[in-house]
Amino acid sequence: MEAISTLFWPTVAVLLTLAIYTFLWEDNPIYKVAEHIFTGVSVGYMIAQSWHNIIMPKLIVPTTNYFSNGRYLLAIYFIIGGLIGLLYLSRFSEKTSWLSRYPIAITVGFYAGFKIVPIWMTNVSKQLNATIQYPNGDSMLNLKMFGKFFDNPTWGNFISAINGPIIVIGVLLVLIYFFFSFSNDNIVVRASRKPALVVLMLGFGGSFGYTFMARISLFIGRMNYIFSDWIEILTTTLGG
Amino acid sequence: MAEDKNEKKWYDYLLTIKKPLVYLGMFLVVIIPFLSRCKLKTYETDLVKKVFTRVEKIHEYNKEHPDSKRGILLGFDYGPSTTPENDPMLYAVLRHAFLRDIPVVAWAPYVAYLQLAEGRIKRIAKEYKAEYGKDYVFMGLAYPPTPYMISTGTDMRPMFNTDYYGNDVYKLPILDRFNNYDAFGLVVTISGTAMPEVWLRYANSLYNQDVAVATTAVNAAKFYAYAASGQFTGMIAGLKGAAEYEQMVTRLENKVIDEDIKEYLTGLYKNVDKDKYPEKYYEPEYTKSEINTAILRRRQAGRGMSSQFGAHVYVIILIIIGNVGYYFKRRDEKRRKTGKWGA
Amino acid sequence: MKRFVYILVIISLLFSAGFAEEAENNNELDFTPKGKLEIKDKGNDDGTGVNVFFRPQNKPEEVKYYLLRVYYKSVSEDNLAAQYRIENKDRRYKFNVSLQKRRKHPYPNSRKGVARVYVSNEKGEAVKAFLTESTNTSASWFNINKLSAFMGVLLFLLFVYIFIKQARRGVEFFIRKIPGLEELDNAVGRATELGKPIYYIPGIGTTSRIATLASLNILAPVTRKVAKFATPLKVPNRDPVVMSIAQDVVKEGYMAEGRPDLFNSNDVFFLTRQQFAFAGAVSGLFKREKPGAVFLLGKFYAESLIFAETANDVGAIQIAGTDSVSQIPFFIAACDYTLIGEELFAASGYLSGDPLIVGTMKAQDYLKAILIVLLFIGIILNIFDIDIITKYILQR
Repeated sequence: MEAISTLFWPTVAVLLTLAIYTFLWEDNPIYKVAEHIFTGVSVGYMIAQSWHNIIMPKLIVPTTNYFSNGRYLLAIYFIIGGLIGLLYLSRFSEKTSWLSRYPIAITVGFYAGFKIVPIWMTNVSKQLNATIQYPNGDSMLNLKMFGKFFDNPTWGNFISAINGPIIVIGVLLVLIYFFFSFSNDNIVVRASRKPALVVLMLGFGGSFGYTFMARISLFIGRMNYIFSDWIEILTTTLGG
Repeated sequence: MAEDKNEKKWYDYLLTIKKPLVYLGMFLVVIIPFLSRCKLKTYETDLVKKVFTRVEKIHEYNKEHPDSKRGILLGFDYGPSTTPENDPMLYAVLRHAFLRDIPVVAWAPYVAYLQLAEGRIKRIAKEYKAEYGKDYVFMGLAYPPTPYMISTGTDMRPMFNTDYYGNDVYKLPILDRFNNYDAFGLVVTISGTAMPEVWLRYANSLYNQDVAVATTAVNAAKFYAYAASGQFTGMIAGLKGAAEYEQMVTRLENKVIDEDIKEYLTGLYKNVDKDKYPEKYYEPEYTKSEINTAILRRRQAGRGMSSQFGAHVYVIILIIIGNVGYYFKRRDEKRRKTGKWGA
Repeated sequence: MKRFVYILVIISLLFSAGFAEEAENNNELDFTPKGKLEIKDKGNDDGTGVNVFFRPQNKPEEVKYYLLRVYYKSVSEDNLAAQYRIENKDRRYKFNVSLQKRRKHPYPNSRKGVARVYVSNEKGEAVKAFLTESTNTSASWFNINKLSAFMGVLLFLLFVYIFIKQARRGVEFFIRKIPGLEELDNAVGRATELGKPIYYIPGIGTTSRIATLASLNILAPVTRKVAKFATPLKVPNRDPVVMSIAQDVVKEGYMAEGRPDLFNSNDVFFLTRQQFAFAGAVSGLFKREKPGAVFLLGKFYAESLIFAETANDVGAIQIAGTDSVSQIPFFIAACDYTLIGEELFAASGYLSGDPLIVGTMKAQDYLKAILIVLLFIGIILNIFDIDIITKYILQR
């Protein structure tokens, strides 16, 4: 019996992995079966998990607890929240679907209001600050770094000397590239277009390479599962 | 058209390699390093070292202030689709924390991550005899994540009511202290999504909390800007980053435990009071296969790196082949048009 | 009567406990412990933060260890918020403490913090209390440290408001033509020459995504062009709401060119909501119908390369555009022309003149101009080690 719990399910996982990879040859029924199992299982799993991890512990249990503890005000908060949330269900009927706008308005309003300042700080002011100076307070266009490089011309010093200027120039170029108020004939727009594209393409190239690495890692992960974990289980279960 | 077929040049073969063959080659370069169990040491980069030293700093702070320790708040922000990359990161970070007795509070932002998180956290906790509710706690679902991050500015407990296992949050001793950002020396978000950005916005920008990120390579390029600006305390990116951290933690582990891991794990629960470790959280004993997987897990990313290396070399060769073929094809076409060569 | 007895018992117990504590702390020491203790409200918070400073004034030989305890409201074991062991190293110590009840429900938070310093031993136990300071804290309405962020956001919102309002009133703003915009016409022309259909995919986002709206704006001129040549146009959708808007847009486009006969509502269709099922269905359509031109404009996620690669496979000319930064590299690699990020909005604004998009574009341009100026000044000042801009504007 133990073999079923320890060996059976991992083997199913291995078979399903292989079934998905058959797609690399061509589309086939084995792949389709695996795909449909996945879709079906994930939907069912999500429904069950949502019930046990959201509706019960986040709404029903605290409400009943607060009622039994005599904290009626808190319980009423939960009930009001729950009722507003239930308005989402009004979408099932065309007549009442306008009601669902209330919970949407509340959540969107809350998030938009709350997000805007942190986004400004995270993506604008702090990033701009980092374009002017390094985290340790050194200036990005630090002439001392060049001095250091000319005193001791190593590769590392060269990189640290040109790093700051590259970032500053790159940021300025790309900001101008996405500046739409000047016409195409404008000398600044025309002159910066090509170099800005080079900077952008370098960035995208880096991103592409990283994504490739990620995809390979996923494949390695599956192979790791089959050739390390599963083989390990197989040998220990059958051998011992 | 028929003429073209007769005239199939060498570069045409290069440009029309059948896709299944390309995949087969990839399969081989990935699988051979695996089966040969070759070990590849990797160099350690600054961004990963920063995370490691930050955790070490927490350890030093805790040694100095044993009554008011600092903990790690762990955002388990990844799902089944990115486990191969994120798992080794989680294992390494958790091993580091438990090895240094740093309290860990963890939560997961989506329903689909929950079981994954629970299983993995307890597996590592078991390796270091971490007691649930005292050394670590898994709070369960924090959905939608934003209000939870905001409420951690003062106290996270009212948002949760109970932890994952249904314990009252006011009865878990670890949460007496570790319930707001002041008590956490570091937030570590291990993620295959854009969640680190959310952490950065709320925990870092609003509450000045240090945030370290462990991310899949897909998002690494995006997060580099934040890591370079110092907004992220450090970054573990992709399998490479995971391998680096794993290497550093293993080095530390060998120093701290100073015993063969197999023997260490076998003897771990021999002479302990088993009442301290309720079976609800994990079973305080080790089977043979569990020990074997625990040992394999210790260099999961490192093993992947040799395959990664093979795959990268393979793809570089493919890119070169493709471009060489393409270059000569274009040159021939040009020549044909200008009449310098051929018909 | 019984109740009074209980109360008496409880009070006496409390007293005895208090005395016990005092007795324990009255150990005789052969020196007087000295030090300077300060507790201050942290400010700019919800009223729970205090900063505690302690400067020992005994030599390390006299007192090696101190213990600092911070209570909320009053000194009692129940109200302990934090405690710190201090090894006397003859320097000033600073602690950030958050005043909270540890065990009980945290509401309401305290408005008073008490710090008390004890002489301690090696085990970290309290031997004798010798200093107690307290402070009242208050919650702030406004975090003054975030003033510059507030101003920045306010400025941006003001720009957006003013420009959208002006654009709606009919003020025409200049937006430059994206150099690659002719490619849209070329693609339609190519497909017509080949006699193949054109596919237009408005992304997989909902209407709440501005990229989807921008895409629907571009769909209008594309439809008009298509109507001129009578090339078949198909628009597969993932979102039902987007689909109904797209239907209207296409219909209007045909009407504007005087060819309502060409419009068939089945050409703008819904496929499925599942991300990868949608990707699979669309690439299946590409394989079967071999379109001459494919437009991939809007919000795309991980399925982007599936579209682009399949369309590339069947030899379609492809115009892509999205604001999802991580998908742009794939489009650049596989498509003939890519609108990068905001170019999608600019193209949409240029083609449609939609006040919402034009106004936002203009507001962004003004903001960018301010940021570029700020960046310039900041960099120049920073070279001369003046950090007004970074310290007081950007780091806040």
